[in-house]
Amino acid sequence: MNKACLALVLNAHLPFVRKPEYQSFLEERWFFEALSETYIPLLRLFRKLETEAVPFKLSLVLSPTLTAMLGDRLLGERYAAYLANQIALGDAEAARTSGDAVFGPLAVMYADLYRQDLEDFEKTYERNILDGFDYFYKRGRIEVLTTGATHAFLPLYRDQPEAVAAQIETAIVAHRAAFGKHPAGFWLPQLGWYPGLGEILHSYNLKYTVATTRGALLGTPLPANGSFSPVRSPSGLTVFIRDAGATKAVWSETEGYPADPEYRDFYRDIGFDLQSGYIAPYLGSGLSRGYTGYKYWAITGHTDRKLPYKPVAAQARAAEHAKSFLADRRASARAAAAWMDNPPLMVCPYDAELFGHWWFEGPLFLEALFREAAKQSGDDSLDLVTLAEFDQKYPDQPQSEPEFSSWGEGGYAEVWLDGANDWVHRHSHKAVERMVELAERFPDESGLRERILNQGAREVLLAMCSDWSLMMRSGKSSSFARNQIEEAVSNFTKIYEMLCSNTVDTEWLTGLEKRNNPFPDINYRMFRPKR
Amino acid sequence: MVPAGLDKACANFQNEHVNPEKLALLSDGELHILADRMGLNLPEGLERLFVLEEILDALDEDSQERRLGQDGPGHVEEKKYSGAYPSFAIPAESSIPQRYNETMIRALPRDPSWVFAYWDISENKRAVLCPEDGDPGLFLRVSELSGAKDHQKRDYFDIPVSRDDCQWYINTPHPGARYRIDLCMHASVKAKVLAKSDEIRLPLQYMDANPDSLPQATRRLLLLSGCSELNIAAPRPSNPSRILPDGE
Repeated sequence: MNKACLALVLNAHLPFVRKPEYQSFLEERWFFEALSETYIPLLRLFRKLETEAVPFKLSLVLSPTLTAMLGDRLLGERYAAYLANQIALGDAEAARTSGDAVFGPLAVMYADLYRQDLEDFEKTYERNILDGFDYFYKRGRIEVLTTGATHAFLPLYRDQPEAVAAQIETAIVAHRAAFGKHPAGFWLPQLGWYPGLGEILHSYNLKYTVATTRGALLGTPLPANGSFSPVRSPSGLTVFIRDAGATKAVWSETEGYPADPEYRDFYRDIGFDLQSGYIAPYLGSGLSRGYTGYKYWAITGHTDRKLPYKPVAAQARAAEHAKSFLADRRASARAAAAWMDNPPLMVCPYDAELFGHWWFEGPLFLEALFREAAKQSGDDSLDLVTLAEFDQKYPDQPQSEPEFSSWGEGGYAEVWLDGANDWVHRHSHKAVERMVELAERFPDESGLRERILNQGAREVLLAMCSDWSLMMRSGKSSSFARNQIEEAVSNFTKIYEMLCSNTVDTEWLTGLEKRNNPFPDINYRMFRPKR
Repeated sequence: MVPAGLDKACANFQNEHVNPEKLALLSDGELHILADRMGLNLPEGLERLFVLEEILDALDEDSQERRLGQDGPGHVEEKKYSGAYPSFAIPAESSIPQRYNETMIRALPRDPSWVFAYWDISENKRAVLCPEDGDPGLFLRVSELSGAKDHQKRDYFDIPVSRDDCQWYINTPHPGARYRIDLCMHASVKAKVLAKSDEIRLPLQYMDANPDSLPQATRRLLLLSGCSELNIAAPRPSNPSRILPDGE
């Protein structure tokens, strides 16, 4: 591994949404859609590459909330029902479009994909998708990183180290329960870093993380290799640096690959095109309009005359983009290598859900990228590596402490400190403060009181989730996001008041434990100040 | 009918598929609350038809702005919630306490130039210090502290706030500097401090080093890393006497 290296990092994360009190719940579809369009297709891709002996390497973040949902029996049952519904819609669509040479095959394509998902979910994985990832984790094809328990934006809790520690400790416990080993890498939620965070991460025996290019280049001292090698923070933690060029190529909605006219249009969905009376029975939750996943049009470009989606042409374009992506990274590596002693590394982190869910051809792009990388040879070819492999191979890196930064718009905390969501922090900080107080007052509880303290710790973590603030700012599902925060704060406040008055509403507690059940091994004592 | 899960207490409106029918279901009062939340300053007594028109126009405008500005990772990240509907919700009655009956202030750095501060004054203190009918003379004192170890104030400025304010975005002059925010009130000739925030440090906006002073290899690697696109190299001071173009 003395050639330039490329590390792909996919962050698979969804906030915890599980509503057993409703028969069906709209926002649970986020999870079902991600399963159908990203997580299961990724596993299918890994199996295919393994079968055909195509080497691949990937660092995959599986967030603790996502891990909890992937292992949840109720959500598993609901996902199976969702797939049955999607297949029924596919059959209806196949009948409606039969004889139509353009749309008929598209309807069948989608229905077949959902059938494949059902087959994989029920038979291949017996409803345990985590086992699928664990299989490739154990074989070293992928490495699995963890991240903050509820994806809290950690810089906003800088003056509450107990909260930061609780996010990390809960994540490690969940990772160990799911995969039987201690994680080596920690993904910073929203890539939110602040100076000093490395000490807490390192104290939990975490070895490395990833920061933004901005944060790294503003670091002290300035990293001499730019973003082409990681830095070692004063605590000893390795901080990998996001590659800005690779970021733009995929992230940009207007200039990035996913904006290509040949690709499938994410927004144009039969859920908005067809009669609501036809669509509504397949949407559930009382909706008359909504995304169904059946999308028949290509992006086409800036025109009102949309063209139908052509899967073969889109697949060819994905292969072209994969080649172009690798060629650009090779050129970048060549230019950097001329000024470096060690081989340059380019770290390319993305949200996993964009591959397949939003960018329908994303998994095809990844497949083409792995195949193309495997074909390369010569001095300027790239080695695909995991972060762990690179960290082990090149332990000596320049010292630097990155600056406070995030991958949100503006590069700092603007997204999470905005007129639409700033009210949250008063409550989440107060909840943390009170939880620390409770953990101090009740250091060694058992039985019912331990249960209620543990549930209190769960609710505090849920109140810290950064996704809700993001949604409030974007205006999408903002009232649902607001309710999620208010519910967690309200639940915690009730728990706090019960403990202060030495009373417990056991029935209410039991109901809450059943509803908000992530992190079964949680230990409220993690909120005690570290001495 | 508002479906369970979409929102228990609020009506939602799809921005990209503006839906006048849903709007029409709202009462006049709800329409005005919605308009307020959207930042529309509508005259009192405006006819319902015009209120509806204003809201629909604003939704359409907002939708276009969002489409134009959708290149940041934050925007892309929102795509994972495809079942998420743009919503401008009528706020439900909050189920959480609005205040916690304590006197405190907390400061959170937002970016190199802005701090967000929120505060509260306990009921007892409020009753004594902030009578309903008088101006309590509350203000925030923003103190710039000189260094990591020296907690002495280097400079400060004050921002007057009212008894009803409880949070503020504060524009601070020096990226990378340390600040403390005190909640104060005027008392005779001196300021009475009600609460002090922790000391905070704002992040840097520009790299500390002068690019010209860096080794050539570092300069090249920074450029290749995207330093120019990120706009983090400090702007060079202008030199009006310079008449030769760069490079000569």
